[in-house]
Amino acid sequence: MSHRDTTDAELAGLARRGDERAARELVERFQRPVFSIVHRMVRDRELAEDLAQEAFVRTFNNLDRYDPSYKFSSWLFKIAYNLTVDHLRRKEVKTISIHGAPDALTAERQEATSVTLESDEEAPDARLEALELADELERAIATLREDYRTAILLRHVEGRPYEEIAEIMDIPLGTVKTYIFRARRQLRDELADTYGVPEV
Amino acid sequence: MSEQEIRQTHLTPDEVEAVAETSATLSEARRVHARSCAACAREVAELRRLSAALARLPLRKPAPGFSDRVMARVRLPVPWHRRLAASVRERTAAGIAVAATIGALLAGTGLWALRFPHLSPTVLAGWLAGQAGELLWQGAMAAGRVAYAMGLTDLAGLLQAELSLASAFAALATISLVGVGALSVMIRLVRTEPRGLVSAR
Repeated sequence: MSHRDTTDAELAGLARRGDERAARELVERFQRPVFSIVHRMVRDRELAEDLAQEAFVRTFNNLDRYDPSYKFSSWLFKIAYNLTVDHLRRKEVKTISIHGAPDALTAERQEATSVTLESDEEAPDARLEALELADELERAIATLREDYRTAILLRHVEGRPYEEIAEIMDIPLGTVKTYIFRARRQLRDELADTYGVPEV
Repeated sequence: MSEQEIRQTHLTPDEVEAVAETSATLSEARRVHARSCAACAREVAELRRLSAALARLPLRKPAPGFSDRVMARVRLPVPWHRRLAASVRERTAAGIAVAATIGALLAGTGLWALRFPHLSPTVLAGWLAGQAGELLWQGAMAAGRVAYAMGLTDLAGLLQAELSLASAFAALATISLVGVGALSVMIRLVRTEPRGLVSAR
């Protein structure tokens, strides 16, 4: 039986009763968003895979604690966010250097962890400017504080509403708005420096 | 705040976002301001541009086989009907083992009775009980000889002379417990690794 048309909440309920296919369908649905946000937080592909994997494993191994009145995605992102932040705090990494991870000792490792644009497509000339902006945007995002970065990625890349972001990050709604406002200001200022757009 | 003041006050961050996302929550007066104020219009335009750029950032993909690696580590709850079936299977296996053992014993006894009719199970059980009793008596006598040789009987007699019988037993029990406690402490001390020899992670 295909689970393609089943909602997340229904799949979570089936997985809670031991349905492995339902659990796998949830992994397939959320692996890219979860990996994406974790990768943009830690800027290390291997580490992002480990953390994203751990987030899914903890989510499913603790399904008995999941409250179906909340969205499954909120719960999953919350676990992924907490894991990532714990890791960053253990490593005492506040922002990510665009030149590579602080503990990158070889040129190869620096290259692997530096901020570069990844694209799954060939870039025709007409999209070159958009790609340059995206590249600069990725670099600017990497300079944000971890909580600002999370908030703005969840809002604008994942399209999550403010209330859900507040649940995921376990902070008040007002704080979410403040983080996003400040993150936007900082990104705008970074991009203004690049493109010479005068500040308001 | 007067209508004029409402029209003249710059947009708040929430209002900028509402205009940028073409939300229907703003009043007409605020919309008029958004259209007529150059500074606020620039804020709205910049937010739209930034939002669009952020929304176009590509989703990153994990390496192939990610879901397989996740599922290999996941432990989903086992449904009740599968738990029950597993329990029945385990009990059936145990039941068969017990039945086979009893059957083997009965068969063995039956064969014994046929092969050695003069040695009935009752006779055999009586012989075994007698041997066990003799063994226990010999053991008690040996323990008594050892206790005498060690002078414990004198100690017990002395205690009995000075204390009541119950107190003598309690005193002996206390002495034994202290001895056992001291022995266990010595054993722990011998087993504990000294600091500095524990290997680092």
